[in-house]
Amino acid sequence: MTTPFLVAEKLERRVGDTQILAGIDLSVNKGEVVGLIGPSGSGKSSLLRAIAGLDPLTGGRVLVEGRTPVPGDGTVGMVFQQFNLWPHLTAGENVALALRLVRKMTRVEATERARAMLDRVGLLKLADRRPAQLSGGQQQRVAIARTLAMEPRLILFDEPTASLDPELTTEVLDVIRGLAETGMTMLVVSHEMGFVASVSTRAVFLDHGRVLVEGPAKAVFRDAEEPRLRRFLATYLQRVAWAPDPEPAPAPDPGPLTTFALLQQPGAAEAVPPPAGPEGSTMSLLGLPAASPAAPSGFSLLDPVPDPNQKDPKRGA
Amino acid sequence: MDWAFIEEALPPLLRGAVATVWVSLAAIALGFAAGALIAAASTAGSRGLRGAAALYISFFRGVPLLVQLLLAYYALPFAGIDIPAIIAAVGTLGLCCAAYMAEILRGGLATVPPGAVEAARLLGLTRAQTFLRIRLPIAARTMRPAIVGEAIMIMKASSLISLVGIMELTRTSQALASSTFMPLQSYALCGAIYLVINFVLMAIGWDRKRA
Repeated sequence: MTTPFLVAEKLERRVGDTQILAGIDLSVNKGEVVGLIGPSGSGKSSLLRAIAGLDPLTGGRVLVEGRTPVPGDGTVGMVFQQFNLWPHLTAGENVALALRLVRKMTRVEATERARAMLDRVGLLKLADRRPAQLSGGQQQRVAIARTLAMEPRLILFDEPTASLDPELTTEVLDVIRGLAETGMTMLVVSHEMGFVASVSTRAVFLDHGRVLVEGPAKAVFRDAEEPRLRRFLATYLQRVAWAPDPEPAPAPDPGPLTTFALLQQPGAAEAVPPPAGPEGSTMSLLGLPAASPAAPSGFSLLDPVPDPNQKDPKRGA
Repeated sequence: MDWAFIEEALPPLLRGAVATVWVSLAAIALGFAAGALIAAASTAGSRGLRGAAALYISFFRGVPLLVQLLLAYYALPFAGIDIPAIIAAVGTLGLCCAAYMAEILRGGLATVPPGAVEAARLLGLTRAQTFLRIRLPIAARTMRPAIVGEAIMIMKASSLISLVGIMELTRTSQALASSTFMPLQSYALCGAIYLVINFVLMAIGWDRKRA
């Protein structure tokens, strides 16, 4: 594996006067999970669509295993924000259709494989339901099963949970996390920062169609120095406003100045560190105990993310 | 209207009705297939194709069907094309139907979410497969009432081909009217049979979920 699995060179896409991708270089090794973050309109989704070959490029090229992928050649699978299931087919048929038409499986083979795939995302019992009879999270899991059934070598997730409520988000993220553990190469666009931080081996911050920051997920989330990225992460953390008000407590050593330390309420950070996390970790900001007392300062966002809705210790199973 | 008349009139009228049904179904099938091609042309990238489709649709929707039938009846032999009247009649009816079907299909296909098509493309379905297995069935849900309406229109419009000598339901009832001297009864029975045929079509188009 001397050449990276995926190489994107100077990707450019311009529509009219709008520069959507402004020269993006990205290379991904096999088995890597790359998280793409950035504000709306920064080009995250456009980058995925360009890699999938759905949108034409006005410059640069994409190589997967040394070849330019053509939509439908089976190299790249994609999971969309809106699921994009076929409403006239049942869950099972959604998964089986391409197996029959593209992989030329018999109806029996395709149905069997579709059932196995649905089982993998925990939906075997709902194989005969149509999309309209499924919850959003279930629909997205069917969409993942449909993508997996074709055995792509790269899966692109385009904001897979953006139209789901927090509970449904969890069931989808769990499936994606499971996939990451199997060594699948994936690009994940998501606003679920905690998830991106924990599942990615590498994170890329995009803004205005450029890569602004790129590096190991830890570095991008913890030691961000780039001002735009800091502002972005700060805005995100402000959303988590339901975090309990920090109680006054003796101020320990604030530790190295990390982004997350900075991200806490201005003024409060140095004087009043949140109660649970010894060093003002995000977990404490989320109102949860820091995942591990040994976690380095501000690093807890990178630990497996405890779901705020389910605090029982079985969650890792 | 007495039973004796009905007993005498019904057998020929039903034979005529069978002809009407066959002619109309053939025209509707032709109209749907040709309409799909025209709908594809009218949404194509090529300006020439789009222009040709627009021309086709405006001609067949703009010229009365009866005039189209007479043109086909007189112009085709004049141009040296010698085909049986029944073929010319069904063809004209079908080509006219195609213009309306094309508009229905174009509207229906526009309601298919682009994401459903993108998913099909990424999974490797060909354009034809995507059209037949994804776009058409999804569009069919919204198009069904309009298509059934068009089928009913064609079933009734097929009465016009009686004027170019095809022995279908209307023509049969005309013959019956003059041979029995009972025009009122003949045409009443004829109308009732059209009504029954179209009730069947309406039943096919009935959407239980919407009722």
